[in-house]
Amino acid sequence: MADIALKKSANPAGSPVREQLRALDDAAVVTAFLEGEERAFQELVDRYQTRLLNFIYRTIGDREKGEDLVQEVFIRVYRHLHRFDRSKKFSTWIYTIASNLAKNELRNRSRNPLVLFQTIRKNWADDDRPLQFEDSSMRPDDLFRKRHLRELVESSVAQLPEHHREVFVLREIEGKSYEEIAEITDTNLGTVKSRLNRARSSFAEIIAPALD
Amino acid sequence: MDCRTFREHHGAFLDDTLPGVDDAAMERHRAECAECAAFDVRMRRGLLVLHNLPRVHCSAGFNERLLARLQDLSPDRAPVHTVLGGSRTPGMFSFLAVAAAVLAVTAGAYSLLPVERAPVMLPPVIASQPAPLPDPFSSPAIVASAFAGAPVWPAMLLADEMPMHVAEVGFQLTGYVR
Repeated sequence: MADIALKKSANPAGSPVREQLRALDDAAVVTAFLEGEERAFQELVDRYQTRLLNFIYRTIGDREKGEDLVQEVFIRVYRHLHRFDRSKKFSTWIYTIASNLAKNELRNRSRNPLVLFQTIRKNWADDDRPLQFEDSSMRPDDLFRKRHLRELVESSVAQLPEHHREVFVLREIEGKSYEEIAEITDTNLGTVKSRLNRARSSFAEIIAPALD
Repeated sequence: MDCRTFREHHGAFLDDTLPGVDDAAMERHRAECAECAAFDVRMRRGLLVLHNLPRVHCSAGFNERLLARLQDLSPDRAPVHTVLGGSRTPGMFSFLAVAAAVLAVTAGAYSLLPVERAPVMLPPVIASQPAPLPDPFSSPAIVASAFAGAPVWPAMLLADEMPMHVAEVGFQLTGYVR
């Protein structure tokens, strides 16, 4: 079944079933999958892989581990989709799984200094990469400035406390509503608002000197 | 508005979720207070840069690795896999179709046989009066709202019952003419 689910993705993108699935909302895609349409799972993967990667990557600060965790999210979705309460929003459910995995990762890292050190080392190595994926039509000093700014923003987000960072990323990068964030993070609305306000202020304080 | 209130409401101000009056008050304060204006600019610039951060994408081998991991799932650990896999194999479909056809033929043949049937006994019908319509003037909602001193709710509930009263008035007038 797993084989079928993803091998079907090799079909041409314009196949009628894929087109029909693309036009459906999440709830309908989930229903289609549970009723036997294998390609619906690939549709869910296509819809959520980038969003989840950005959420997890900005939360834990490690892209490679982020990809592993996104895979873990889809494995869990695949195994437990039959238990998903279809009266709820699928996106909230999948983000909750991602959020829990990201939190576990941060917790493990804080308990294991070696993992933390390896992550830092990996990020140093990333800094040494050539600018091969940048737009070659830009001038070198523009490229440098752009990359510098990106790194600055990423490091500013990484400096936020864990709880604040999670809410901040869900709101400012993923565009989630306060209610959804409260559900994903299993906190009340007031806590979400206060964490977000503090995170915004801290982020602005951290990044302001670089923008002036 | 003072600076403290401005900071307290600033999150909602950024999200554009403040009521119009409060929004106007925030804008007035921002125009008057240089410190709060600088705070607002700092926040908006920071978020603008963040919103323009390029999105990262999964690497090229992401789907293949996911496929490999899904294949590693054992059937007992993957109920969805088992259930869907079982119901989706063509062999199982064929088996179910044949079984359904055999059952249908058997049932049809059985219905053609002359069978001594017992007389059908239906349960007795008990007539009952229809429940009377509730009086809208003494409904629990009105009584509760009157005690709570809420003058609006009774009026709204009465407005809700209007068609019924009009019908009743019409009936009384007819009786009066006779």
